[in-house]
Amino acid sequence: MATDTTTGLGAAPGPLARPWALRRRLARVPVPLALILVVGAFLSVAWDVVTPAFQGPDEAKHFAYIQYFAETGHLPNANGASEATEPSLGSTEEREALTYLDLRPLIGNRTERPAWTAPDLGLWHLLERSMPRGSRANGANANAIAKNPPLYYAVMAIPYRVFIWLPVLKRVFVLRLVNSLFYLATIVLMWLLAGEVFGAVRWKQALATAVVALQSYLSSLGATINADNLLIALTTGFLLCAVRLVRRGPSLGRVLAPSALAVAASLTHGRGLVTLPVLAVALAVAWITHRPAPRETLRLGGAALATVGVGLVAYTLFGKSSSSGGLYGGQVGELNTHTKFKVGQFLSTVWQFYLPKLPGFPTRLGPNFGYRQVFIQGFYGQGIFAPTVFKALQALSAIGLLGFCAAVVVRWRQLRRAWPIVVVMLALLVTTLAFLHYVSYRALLGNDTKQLIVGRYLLPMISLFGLAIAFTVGALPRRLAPLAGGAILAGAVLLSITGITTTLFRFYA
Amino acid sequence: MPESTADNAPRRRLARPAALTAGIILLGALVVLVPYWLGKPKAIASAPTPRALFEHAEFALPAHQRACMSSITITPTSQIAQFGVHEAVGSTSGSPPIDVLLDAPGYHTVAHLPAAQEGQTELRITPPPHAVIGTVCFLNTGTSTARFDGSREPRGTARAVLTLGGKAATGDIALTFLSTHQNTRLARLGEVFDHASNLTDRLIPPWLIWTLAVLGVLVIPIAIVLAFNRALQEDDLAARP
Repeated sequence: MATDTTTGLGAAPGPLARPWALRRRLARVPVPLALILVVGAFLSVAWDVVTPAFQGPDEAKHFAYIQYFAETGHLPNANGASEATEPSLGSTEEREALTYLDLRPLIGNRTERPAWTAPDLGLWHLLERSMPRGSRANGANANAIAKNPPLYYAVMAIPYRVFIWLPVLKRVFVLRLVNSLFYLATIVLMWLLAGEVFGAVRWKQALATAVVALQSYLSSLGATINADNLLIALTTGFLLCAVRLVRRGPSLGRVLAPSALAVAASLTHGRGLVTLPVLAVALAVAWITHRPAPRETLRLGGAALATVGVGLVAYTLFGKSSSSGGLYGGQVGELNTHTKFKVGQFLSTVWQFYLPKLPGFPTRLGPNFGYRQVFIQGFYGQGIFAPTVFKALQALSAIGLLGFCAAVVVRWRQLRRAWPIVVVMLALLVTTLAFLHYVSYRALLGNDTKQLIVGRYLLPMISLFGLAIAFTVGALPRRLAPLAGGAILAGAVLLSITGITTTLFRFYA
Repeated sequence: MPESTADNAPRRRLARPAALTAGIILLGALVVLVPYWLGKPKAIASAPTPRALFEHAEFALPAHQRACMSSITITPTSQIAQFGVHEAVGSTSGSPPIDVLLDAPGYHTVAHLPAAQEGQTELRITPPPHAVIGTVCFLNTGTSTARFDGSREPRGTARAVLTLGGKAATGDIALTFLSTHQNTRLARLGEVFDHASNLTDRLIPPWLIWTLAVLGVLVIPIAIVLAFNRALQEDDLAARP
């Protein structure tokens, strides 16, 4: 079996593949990827241990959604859920765990600690054993994140049912480990994507993948119950397939793969909808660069449209049958209903998100919240690191951005030659940022005082982060580049270990 | 031996990034991680009731009344009770004297807080010989009303149940127990891993956390250095004619 030089993975087995083909194929996993996956596995378990149950972003709500769906077979409803009613939602089992182990007041409160002693655990065991039947299944139908489409929760319902016999704390721990499979999948997809982009230059592939694996927020989020984990893996897989489509040319398989992944991303989270315009861009670029015959164009275009259409219709029907409200909890329908939308104010708000206000600009809406909070603190790990670390990360990110711009200038010809790939990546970047800014502005128009953009929302584009770093470092002189790559990896390792350590002491000391 | 020199040159060149990566990790660990591990922060023994996250609340306790919270965890290292107390509104003499009574099966202690306190207060108490779950009462022994800091946020309410003057009240008086022993973080690892293990319902016992921690600290940097080095070697091999 030949080895694909771009991916480093064995080529697809033929129809006569033997049952041991999988084992042989696993043995052909490139050593650098295998080592990075070992690191990813260690990080996942470490983050799972140092983060008490329900302390991930909205983890209690995600767990409640999975539990309600797995126990009742119905989708929850966003109506009736609010900050005030939140403590009374969820099943008896979840509510009591949050209360008796002091896990609810622990959420976001750095002065609080969970009930961590042996007598606390003993008290919890007594309570858990005395719970009546049905304590898992009696959660309220209302859930603030019920507007999320059901794919992630349907997938997670399987391990939930498999491990239903475990007490809730152990079940949460195991479900988090299942979530970390999405994180590990992201690492593998990143490896494949880097192979597709950088060809057979293995050190760039390893650098891009390792940087992603060591991104502290990604690895910590990967060890919590959160729909973003599946969204990140699907978006990375989507980008890989879209790049393959524009690079290798359209075929039925290469069109269906990104289409199916875009549908899956859209059925995982509302933010997954950004993959649909990117899919359209990828299809258009593939058509421009490879010019299939009109009949073939119709066939492939029809296949893509049918895939997207079937997926969205299926969800609409599913949503109606479970009375979960409109598509994405009515969010999609609302996108254009605000009459107060002012282009000037929107652009000014976006400008002031990144840069100081200029004379004559309209006052921005919402709090003074900008790129530092989202692209630095939020992206690298809100609450994980000390302010001094964030300052250093901000400075290093600025240097990296300047370096990236210089690399673009230096490698301009190469980029122009690879324009189909560049266009697809830019489409993902621009569509995601435009979507986030637009939705956030809409929320601010509706007198919501909260910013809707948080660093976590950038993680579906984590592959672009890894690729940008490898591209920038790769543009350095040949002798210097591996040294710079090594230095970046060293910093990422230190950040990872620091993040895990500080989180351990933040919760347990 | 020109042949072996030629063979060794790329190996040495390839070893440089790996050595640099390992060196930066070691240096960073010495500069950042070791001081952190050797730091001696204030040690929290337990934090049964939280401070408010968004909306600070106050609980008024009239003279000769008591405020009690049940289901409070008190550990052998709970040597200091930390809470916020203020004088009555309009008063200028500071808070009235307060007695803090801690009770659990086989354990009883009283600590006296003198009058004229304002804000966050730390009071020495005698801890139990082993961790217990009991009751904490604040008895206002003065002649004016005392006000305690706390939280009424529904999402911030702990499992403790508060009564004021014998009547059930919503919310909690914020209370944290601190230890007087200021050990390094490194020295506290056993205790910290024990806490973490309890929150996994002992699915991951402390010995396994120790094993994972030691392995993780070694495996993560080594695997990354090896992965990068191996990738460079593969490129080097592929570039050879």
